[in-house]
Amino acid sequence: MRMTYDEMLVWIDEYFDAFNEYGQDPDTIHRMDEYFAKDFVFNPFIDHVGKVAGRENWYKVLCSHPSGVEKLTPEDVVIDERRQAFVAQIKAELWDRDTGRLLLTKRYLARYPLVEEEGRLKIERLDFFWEVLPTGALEIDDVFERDWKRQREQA
Amino acid sequence: MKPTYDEIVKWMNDYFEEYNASAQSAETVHRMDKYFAADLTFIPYMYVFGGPDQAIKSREDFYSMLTGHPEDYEKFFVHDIFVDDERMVAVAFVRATIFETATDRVKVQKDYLPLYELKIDEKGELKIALIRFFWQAVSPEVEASAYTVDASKWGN
Repeated sequence: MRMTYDEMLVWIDEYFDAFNEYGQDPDTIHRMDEYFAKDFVFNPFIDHVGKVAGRENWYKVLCSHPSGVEKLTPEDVVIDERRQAFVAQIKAELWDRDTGRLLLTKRYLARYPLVEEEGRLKIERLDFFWEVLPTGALEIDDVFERDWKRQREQA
Repeated sequence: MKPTYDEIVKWMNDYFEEYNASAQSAETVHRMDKYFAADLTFIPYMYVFGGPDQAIKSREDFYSMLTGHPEDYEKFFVHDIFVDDERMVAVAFVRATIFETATDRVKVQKDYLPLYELKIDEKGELKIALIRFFWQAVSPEVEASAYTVDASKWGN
């Protein structure tokens, strides 16, 4: 199956809406099965961040930072209809779940090749680049680390 | 007339070939006029170049940056190009190798993901109007050892 340019535009909007609503909560994360292929790969071009292979492992990462909630807003979308792939420049906002305070904002640029699975197109891989902030600035990892540290201590 | 998908892919590959040959020497950089609009905007999403609030807003200023690090030079190898022919936008996934000019020693290799907004200029020629520039995030130490950047130019 293939999507037209306009169908891809709609699909991309729906994907980001679904991510923001369901993509970081273990109770709802499997709604994202509509968008991520089983063999999904997260491929970050960030030296200290490792690749993640498999949708279930990806979901563990997404749900591993409950105190910091990421809201993604696509600001620019590049659709390669022939290749059935897209690129999005994304504004990422990281919010503190308890205080409702905005902790940081940065931009991502990500490539999303799609693949057919179960009769629909899904994200096969996420090639991920992010804005490099000044040394010492609060980073996404600093916020996520609050939960990761707690999880390591409880293990 | 709007270029086709295949024409944009070919044009972008030609652009990278010319970039490798000409873009980092003051004697040859104006060969890049074929590719860059005079009012080119370059938005860097890395703080070493001042971040997105420190965009470069002309081709000549961009050339000053490209030719302003004679101690090293970079060569691009194109992994892949995505094209949105409806919007005339291309995104290139490239491997950059940075060499020390005096010795041709490889200083570092990293991947870049630049987005190019294209336009047809007043002469009917395809040009790069805007670049949104993202690169692989490496440690500050690696960054410092790889690039000769006059940080004072970028408000650092």
